[in-house]
Amino acid sequence: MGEYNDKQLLEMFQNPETRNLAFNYIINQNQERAYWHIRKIVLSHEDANDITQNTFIKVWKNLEKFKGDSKIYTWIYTIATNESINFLNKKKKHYFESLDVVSYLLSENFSADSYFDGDDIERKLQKALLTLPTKQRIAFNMRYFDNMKYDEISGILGTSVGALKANYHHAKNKIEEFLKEN
Amino acid sequence: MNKRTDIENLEKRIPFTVPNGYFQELKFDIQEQCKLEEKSSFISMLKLQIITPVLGIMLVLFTLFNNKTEIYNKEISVIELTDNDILVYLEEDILQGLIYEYTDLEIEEIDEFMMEQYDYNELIYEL
Repeated sequence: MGEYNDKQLLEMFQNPETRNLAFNYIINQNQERAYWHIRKIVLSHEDANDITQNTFIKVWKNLEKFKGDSKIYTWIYTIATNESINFLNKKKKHYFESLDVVSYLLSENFSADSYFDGDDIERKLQKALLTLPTKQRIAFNMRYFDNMKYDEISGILGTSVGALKANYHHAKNKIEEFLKEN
Repeated sequence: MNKRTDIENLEKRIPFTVPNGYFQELKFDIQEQCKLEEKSSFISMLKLQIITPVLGIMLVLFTLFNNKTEIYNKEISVIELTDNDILVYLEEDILQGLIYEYTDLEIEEIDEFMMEQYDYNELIYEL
């Protein structure tokens, strides 16, 4: 499979003859990145699998209308983030609980998840992350684990770079305090 | 007292795994789901293209039927009028005119009536 830039991919997608080729290329280039981004938010493999598929269905349905004002992968990240947040909000409504309780449930679930192979400190780090508000946790994941630049994160979450930097610093302190006490 | 860990010094590894061959399967699952979505959107659009005109025709027929019923009801109400109702309706100047048509009046009586109806002085000025 050849290399295509975003502009070429969008043109190929507009053409019915090359639409599938373009979409397959996009899946290949982005599915793992999208999956791991979602997985770090929802923790469960089954849930992450469902949300990843929903994300790419939305990409398929809306790529024709995408204006190219950001990179395709940034756009996919945005969809994946929104789908994950919507999933957590639905879970919150389903259990009539606050997001704190949902975070606690996630925390208990991932510990027993057979698709978790972290050591003790990594387990504690994940529990510490779950004490953060959802959007702050997502921003922290993108900076800490994915090493994304602040302006990229800003484009995805719609938060200013300054606020993101302050949030990261605050989150880091809170996590380190949690690890010290636990 | 526990020492505080600087998390920047940790390995930053994602401690989650996936089943073997998962990402190969994921690609095909996504493609299948997209095909199903296309089919169901096509069916929804087809339903919309059929249902909307049918609803439109039903609405037009309903409106026409309603109008006809109203006209029919009005005709019936005229038929249901009594003789007394009709007489009351006719108790206007028209009635007087009709009566004059069918009675034998002397010329003097007609003149007297006309003077009551019109201002005689105005008539003189006009002449």
